[in-house]
Amino acid sequence: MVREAPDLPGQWVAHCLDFDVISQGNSPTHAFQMIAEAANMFALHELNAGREPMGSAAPDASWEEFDSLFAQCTPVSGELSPEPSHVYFGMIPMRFEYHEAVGTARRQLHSAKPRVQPLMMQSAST
Amino acid sequence: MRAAEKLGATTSEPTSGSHWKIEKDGKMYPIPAHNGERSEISDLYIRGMCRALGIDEKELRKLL
Repeated sequence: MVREAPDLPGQWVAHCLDFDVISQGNSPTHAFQMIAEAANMFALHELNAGREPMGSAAPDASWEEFDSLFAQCTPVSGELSPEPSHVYFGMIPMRFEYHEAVGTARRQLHSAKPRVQPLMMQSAST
Repeated sequence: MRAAEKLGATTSEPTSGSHWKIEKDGKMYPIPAHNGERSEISDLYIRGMCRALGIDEKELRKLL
């Protein structure tokens, strides 16, 4: 979920609700790129620590707001033109692979670079 | 970041990408540094970071 930062005009805050990870960008599109990187970093750290990253999901209030706004949204495509009254939604797929360290039995997860092209983008007016 | 370090967190620069890492008690949270040292951080982010790392937001804000 991406929206303009209420306290920093010109900055866009992105919230990955599944992991409760937040990042920022200089535009909605940049914010999606930033959250892709942040969510990927977080998930990789959690998985390598033996934890389920989705065990850290966002608070109920965030999900309730998501449900309310998502119900109103309409599809958009291409470069997002920043509309301060809009909230943007997208999905970013991630993929992780186990690599074995040479000469050891240790396996560690590595991630492919997250795709920054959202599968679906929609917006709702707040 | 300096304020969070006073509350027991450690920070590290990115080896790649635009996020620093802040770690506390085995947990990690990414910090956006997309504008380098001039990156301004939203209150929404600070709230989320405190929630993730178990940092008291009021204590952190006293140090900002």
